[in-house]
Amino acid sequence: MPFSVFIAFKYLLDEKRQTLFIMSACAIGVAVMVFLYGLISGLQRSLVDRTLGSQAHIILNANKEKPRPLAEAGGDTAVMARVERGFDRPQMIADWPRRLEAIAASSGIVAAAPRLTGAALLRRGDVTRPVGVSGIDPESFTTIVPLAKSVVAGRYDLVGDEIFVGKDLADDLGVTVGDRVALQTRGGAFNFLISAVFDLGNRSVNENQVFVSLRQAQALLEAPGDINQIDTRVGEIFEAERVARRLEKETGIETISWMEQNSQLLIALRSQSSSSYLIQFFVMVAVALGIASVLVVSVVQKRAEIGILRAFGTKRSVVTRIFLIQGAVVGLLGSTVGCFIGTGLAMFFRDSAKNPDGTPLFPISYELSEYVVFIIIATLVGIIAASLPARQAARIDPAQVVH
Amino acid sequence: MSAILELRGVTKTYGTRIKTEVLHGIDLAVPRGDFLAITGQSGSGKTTLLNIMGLLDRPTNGTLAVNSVDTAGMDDEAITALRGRTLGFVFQFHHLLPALTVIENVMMPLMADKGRETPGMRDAAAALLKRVGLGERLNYKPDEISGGQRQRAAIARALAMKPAVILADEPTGNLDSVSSGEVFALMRELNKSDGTAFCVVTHAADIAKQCDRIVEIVDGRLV
Ligand SMILES: Nc1ncnc2c1ncn2[C@@H]1O[C@H](COP(=O)(O)OP(=O)(O)OP(=O)(O)O)[C@@H](O)[C@H]1O
Ligand SMILES: [Mg+2]
Repeated sequence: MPFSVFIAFKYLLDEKRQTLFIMSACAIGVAVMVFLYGLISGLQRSLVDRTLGSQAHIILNANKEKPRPLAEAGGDTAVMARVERGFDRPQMIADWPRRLEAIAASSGIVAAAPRLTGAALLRRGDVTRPVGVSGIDPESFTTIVPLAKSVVAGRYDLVGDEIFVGKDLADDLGVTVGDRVALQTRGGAFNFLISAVFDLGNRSVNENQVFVSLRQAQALLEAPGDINQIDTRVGEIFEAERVARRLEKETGIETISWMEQNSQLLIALRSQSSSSYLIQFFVMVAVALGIASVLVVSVVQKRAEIGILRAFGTKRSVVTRIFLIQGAVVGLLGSTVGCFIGTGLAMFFRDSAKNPDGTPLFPISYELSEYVVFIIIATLVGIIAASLPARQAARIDPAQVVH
Repeated sequence: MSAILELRGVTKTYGTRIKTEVLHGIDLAVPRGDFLAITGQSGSGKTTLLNIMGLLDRPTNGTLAVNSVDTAGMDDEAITALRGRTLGFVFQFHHLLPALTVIENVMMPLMADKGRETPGMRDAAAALLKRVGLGERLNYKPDEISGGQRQRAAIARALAMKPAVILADEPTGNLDSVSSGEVFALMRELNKSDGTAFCVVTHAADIAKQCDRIVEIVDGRLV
């Protein structure tokens, strides 16, 4: 064991009460950090999960045209661009099976599915509702949006003229699995049989969206063989925006990521994160001040002892290290205990705050790597806190303190 | 005759605004195996002189040579290493580290020199403690032994690096006359058997009389 470590441990063990005191301060600080981090990240994860539970990570939609300038900007010329509606009929994605395959194989994308979207009037008896119609391939679509898992009644299958309706729409119209509804477009009215009622956890989707087979939608929307949208799923959800921009450049199709669509949510999450970082930062500043002040007092008390160490051949750098090691040990051990306390608090909170149905309000869980980060931060904080007293100790002049 | 310590024209001035010269041109040589008493009135500059001889403080003017090597140009690290290997200290107060056991206190200079405990260190420290009569107190803490025992442990610590010279500033000043006699006798015996030189600051005339040489400081000058 190095001499500096030996002396540092002797000092920590000799002043047990003082050591316990600063370790507790560190443990409490880290517990607050761990608890807050778990709470915020759990809350955010559940918000993001809920958001992504009813929408694709990235959609490529041929209908949404970008303003395309007619002249190039440059020199003294500025160009104003706006969309002039040129087509009565929605735009389609030409040659889509090949492009779907290319997009699915594109880096960052883990799945892609075709979709044809349009609008229709849904009629049941003499009640009508405007709805969004999506023609999908049920099998591939559910790998993008977990629709199969969201079925609350019926079976996840679209054979022939079958249709999925949302829970809120079904309640509103008083229909259920096995009932018939009609969809009306310019092309005429078509009859459908409800094979499933779904709940995607999003009221607007549950109220306004119906799903039919791709073939039925193509007939209904007078677009035989066509689709106008490709839905994709990415591996890393927070990479979606970057992947979307790249896809747009590669395909020339208007591309929107969930991040762009939910920019308000993301701004809220980000400011929530930064305020939680700010709190964690100040907690650690308080911990550092606590450790530093105790060690400063300890250096003052040990002036003569440090003088003796110096008189008997201990280098200044070793004296510095003796105090830095004390800070590091306090940070390391204090934060390890703090991780347990913080996790305990978070679990207690999770188990006491529940939804009416008994499930946790939101999930809280920690990864080992997150603990490692907390412990490293706290150890560094301990070392930084000890650096002032350590420097003070190294400056002690043996002739002045030993008599 | 090779001197371990040699001071030439050493002066020491304290203070930056109001300067007081405490030592005025001290010339002093400590040969190997010497047993020197330094006496003088309180405030005459004995501790100041000993600190300079012990490389704990630097002279304002003049030179200090250790084993004929001038120390003026050395940096703090070199001075620290030289001090640790050549000099041992005993103070009026024992200054044992209270967090360490008696034997760990004696091993401290050895560990500071090597950077860690190495094989044989513990045995060497135990042997030293046995010599000073503390063979039964190795694992006691300093506050668990008597004042005379503490001062003997401090002497064992000063001996740990086998220094050429031990500087002792009133080593018996805090002890009763019996312990005081024992501690002094121990130093004499170590001087005889190992040839370790001693420079002992003392007020006690009877102790000074038993030394090989006596120098007296009067107002910062040797007489
Ligand atoms: N750090 C210092 N700053 C200023 N003056 C000092 C300092 N240390 C000592 N002195 C002065 O130097 C003079 C000599 O002090 P020193 O401690 O060497 O005396 P001493 O002979 O050891 O006395 P004593 O027998 O009481 O221990 C004293 O007048 C003291 O006031
Ligand atoms: Mg003195």
